[in-house]
Amino acid sequence: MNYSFASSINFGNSKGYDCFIHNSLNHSFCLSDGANSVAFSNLASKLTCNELSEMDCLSIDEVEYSYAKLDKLLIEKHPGTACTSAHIKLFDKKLLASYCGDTLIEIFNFRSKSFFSSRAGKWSMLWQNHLDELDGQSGPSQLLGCNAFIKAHIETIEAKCPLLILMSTDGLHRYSLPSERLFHISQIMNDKPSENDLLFICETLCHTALAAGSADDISIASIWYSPF
Amino acid sequence: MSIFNKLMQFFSSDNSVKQDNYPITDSFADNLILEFRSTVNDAVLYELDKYQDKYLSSILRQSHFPIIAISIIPADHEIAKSVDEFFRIHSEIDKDFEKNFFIKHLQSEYRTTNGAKAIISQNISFNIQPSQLGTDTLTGDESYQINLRGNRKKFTAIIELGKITADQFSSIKTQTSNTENKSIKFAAELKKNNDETLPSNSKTQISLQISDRDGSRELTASLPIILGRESGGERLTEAHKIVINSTYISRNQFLIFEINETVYGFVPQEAKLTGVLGRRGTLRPLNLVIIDKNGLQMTFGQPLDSTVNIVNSDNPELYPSVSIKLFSTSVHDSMTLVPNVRK
Repeated sequence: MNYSFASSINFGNSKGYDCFIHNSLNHSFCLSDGANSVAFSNLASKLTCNELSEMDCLSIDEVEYSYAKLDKLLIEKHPGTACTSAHIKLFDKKLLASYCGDTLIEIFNFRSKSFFSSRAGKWSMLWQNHLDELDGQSGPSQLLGCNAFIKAHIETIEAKCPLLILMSTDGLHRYSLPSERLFHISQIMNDKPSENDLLFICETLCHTALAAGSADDISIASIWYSPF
Repeated sequence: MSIFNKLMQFFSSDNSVKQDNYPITDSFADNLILEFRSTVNDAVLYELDKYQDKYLSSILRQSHFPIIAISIIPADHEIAKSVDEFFRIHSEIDKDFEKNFFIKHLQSEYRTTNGAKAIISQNISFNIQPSQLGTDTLTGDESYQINLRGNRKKFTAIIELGKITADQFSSIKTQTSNTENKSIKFAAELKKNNDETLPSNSKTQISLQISDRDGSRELTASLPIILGRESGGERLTEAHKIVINSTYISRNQFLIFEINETVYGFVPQEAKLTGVLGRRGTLRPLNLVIIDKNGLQMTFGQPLDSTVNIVNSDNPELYPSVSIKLFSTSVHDSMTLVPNVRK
């Protein structure tokens, strides 16, 4: 599996309620934002990342079941806490995205403009998850580990060209523009980015959110994945 | 001793008496500057070389490494002594002499051929460290060997580079560097003005993405503000002006303000042109538009009496486009709330 990744979790003066885990055995990534209005939600986000990164499900039903099981586990182990989740699992030429709450997953692809030059082209948005947001308010409409959990959203995305996946918590995506995120991704062109390059993109976006006045936990993970 | 030798001694001693102290110091400082420049330049490029292979050149071109510390190590005892004396004497007159000397005479930016660059950071620390080598006196053999080699390096430098940082955090780059500077200047001016005049409890900020003749830029501003073309003295004094450089835009085109935690915008009566809100129609003078969390996007240059939409957002040189987004720093924005929905 040809991929590289970097993350910047709980950037700056964050309270430390976000968690990110990469499982290299099953090529999965999980980002969770603990609800920092409730004490000990950082434990909920850690448990969520641990459980989801271990999840080895192939069908949508299996993933849905795993989320329902995780919700019960959170209520049992850390009652009164809540968290979001965004989970990506890489397969050969496709990926599985599952999420709950208002953590954003954006997938960008590189479109070559010229048949003769692989570098000529540009990055554009391929897919973006639906955010579970309350109408007119800046809070999530459902979270794991609380009474408001309904069900996880699950999507399968085909990978026909190199992809750049961004997973970001609301402390970052509410304080940066999609065009800003696309701009920083566009710097890597059609080259394979190193972990340093991806980390630079993550940290630059964190700085952007911080400069825009984000006072929430700021976390982002970027994953470059090539199906070839 | 021959008469010739005596004469030579006389002239040489005479010259040394006549020589003023000032030119000696001047020449010493000039040599020191040259030595420091060349030593620091080599050391910075060596450090950059170590890092630049770890990044894509496209990323290196948009970022820089801040130089956070420069340590200069004299090569031997004599050099360490003379440099120390030079800085000690000058520092007695000017306490910040050492720092000012380096800042004034070292290059502010260093670049490699691969596009990596290092910039002297604002909080840089300079120091001259006499090492163990620097306190040794050279033996006769060593001096002889050094003289044989000719141009000898008097200093070595140790450079500490900070983490790679983007040149500009805002993504919406302008087309030319001139405009880029302009947008930064705008933001700085706006912040300065707002800090001076607005009450400290005013927290509503808006983000403006402007596309005009100068390209695209993004600004963050506190309310109230007015958008319009460069106007000289004719401006509303209560609001801060954000200048938009396009053909079809009025001097006072669009005023944005806040009352009771609601942000409104309107086209003032004196505007000769108005704006188009995409599918939401045309702005009418003195009609208030609420700017909520969904923001507002408009293109200016629409004549007031025209019933047909003539603006073209693809041509910002003629018709500027502005996208407004709210930034409100309420308590809810600093924390993720748990929804109170029962199953």
